[in-house]
Amino acid sequence: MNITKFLLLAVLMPGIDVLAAAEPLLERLRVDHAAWATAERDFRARRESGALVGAEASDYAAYVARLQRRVAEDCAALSDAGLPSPEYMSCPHFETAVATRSAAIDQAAEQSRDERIASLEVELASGLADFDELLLREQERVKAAAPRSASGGGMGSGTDEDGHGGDGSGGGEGSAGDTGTGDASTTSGARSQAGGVGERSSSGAGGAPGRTSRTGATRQPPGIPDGRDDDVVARQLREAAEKETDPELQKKLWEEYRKYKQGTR
Amino acid sequence: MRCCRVLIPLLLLLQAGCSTLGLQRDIGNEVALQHATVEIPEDHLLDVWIELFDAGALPRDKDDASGLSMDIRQAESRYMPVVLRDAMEKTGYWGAVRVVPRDTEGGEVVVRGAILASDGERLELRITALDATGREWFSRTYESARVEASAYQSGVQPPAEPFQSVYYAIANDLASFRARLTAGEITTIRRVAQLRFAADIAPDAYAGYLQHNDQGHYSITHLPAGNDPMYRRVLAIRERDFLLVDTLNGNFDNFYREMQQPYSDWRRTRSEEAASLHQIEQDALKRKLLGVAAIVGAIAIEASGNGQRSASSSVLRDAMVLGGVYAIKTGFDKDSETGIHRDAIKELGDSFASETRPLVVEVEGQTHELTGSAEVQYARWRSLLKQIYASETGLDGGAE
Repeated sequence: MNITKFLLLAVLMPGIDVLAAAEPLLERLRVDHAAWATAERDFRARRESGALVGAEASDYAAYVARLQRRVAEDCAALSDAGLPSPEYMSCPHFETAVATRSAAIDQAAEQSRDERIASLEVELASGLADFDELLLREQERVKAAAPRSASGGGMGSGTDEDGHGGDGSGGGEGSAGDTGTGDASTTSGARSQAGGVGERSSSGAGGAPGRTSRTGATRQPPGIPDGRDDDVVARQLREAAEKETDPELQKKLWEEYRKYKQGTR
Repeated sequence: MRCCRVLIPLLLLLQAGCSTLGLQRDIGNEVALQHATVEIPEDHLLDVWIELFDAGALPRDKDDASGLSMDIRQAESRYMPVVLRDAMEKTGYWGAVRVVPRDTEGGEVVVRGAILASDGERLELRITALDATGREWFSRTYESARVEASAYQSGVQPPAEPFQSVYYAIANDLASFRARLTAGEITTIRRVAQLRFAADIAPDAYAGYLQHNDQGHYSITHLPAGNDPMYRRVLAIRERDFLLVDTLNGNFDNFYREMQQPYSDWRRTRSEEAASLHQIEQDALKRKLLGVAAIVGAIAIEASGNGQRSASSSVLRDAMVLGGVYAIKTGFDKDSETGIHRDAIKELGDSFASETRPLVVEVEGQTHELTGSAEVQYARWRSLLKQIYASETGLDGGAE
């Protein structure tokens, strides 16, 4: 009796070993698969409703792709352990992931139809994940390249949606209306922009040509009139004065500007 | 004659009708943006792709073209679609509204625009809207009222858009057309857009699901099964397509923000100069005409005297001749002033163009790089899908 038990155990042991080793793999696959399915469903629903855009969407897509890749790896591991993926998951490419793992380069010609499809599936999923990462990087770059000037008037990035519509929302507070009246104060970035042409830098040399260069501060003596009704000559004088770095010369230029403005009134 | 009596009012009536409903819309200064009064269910929302505008051509008249350049137009062709996009996004009628490069496939509703005129004082756009089924919603010209330089308020952050009414009118027309669509039509548009993408990315599998006639209209012949694994793969790629478009919009947004202030400044200054120019041209012409009239009058006095000149008429005649000559001279002086203003406008245009050119090149470079990289990816995915399809269906030859 004991001998029979022993023999039976000896026959079944390898199978039991395999099952015991497969259990954590199966569990991991179940968890990963559930996470992937839920995330993908949620991602699709959010994307279709328009609730998910930009960097957030790219992030989420990359996350879903990573989960998908993990599921494919779980399937491969299960296959290596000599067990098939559970059928109820109804995901044929899982099996193929196994094949992809086990199929060495030289064995490609010997792949079965399913293995071949699985291999292509994994390649596709991997390509999608890489592309998600590329887009994510690109979106980060775009975000970093957003013009600094947007925050100058207290309107943080992306807040111009209403503001520039001109429909009464009145975007930047701290606007420029009060400039030029004060003492020898420095005018804010926002004000300088409002000054118009003068603040634009079109040097074209060095740095990022054409990008608006906001030095942030322009010294302006007291009593300088508002530049909003400047004609071309006045604007050029103003521009020269604003750009001038030599204080003496700058003072003279402002004086010229003031005289000219008085003369044209 | 009788025929004309009937025909002329009819033509006038037709013309009046066109200005509000037909091919041409003259936009006043105050157009309110229509908002959706109720929340539109998600499955009734249509995504809109606004293509970068066609920059058009500059006016043939040398004076009208003064200070304008194709560099500025190129910049505007990227700037204006963003303004329209933002207006449409505020209405609540649409799903995702995005700016895309021209001839980008895959949109549910596509809006195409061409700049017919834009000089800071006036804006004229030709807008064509069509959906994924190939049905043209409308193709109209929108012409703004003349905008005074004072509309460009300096110091307002962010700068107000003086032609906002034009964009609102376009957004309203699109919303009106959409409101006429039935739920079934909206579903069809969405499905056709999906299938067109599927047919583009996996033609072997999905080209047969759509019919395409000579007029460019698409109709669905049959739909993929709900659990079609190939369709699921295609939709996964389409998600990436949306993400790509989102990323491109980030570039267009940055460009828009960079250009907003200098563009507003340029338009304001150009409007001021152009207004001065018009005034001086009118003054100069008036003075010359007055001068000519005075000289002609003096000659008439001379002629009417028949040689019997009284002292008073002689003085009057001489005064008129001198006055006339003076008026003509000041008229010519005014002409030289117009030259100064014309030069100023040109200088402004050159300065703005040189400033925006690098920006345009930059945004073009980035979007090309991205779309180029996407094209390489898409080509690879097309090839993979082709191979998977060939393997799944048992058709050989898909392997590469």
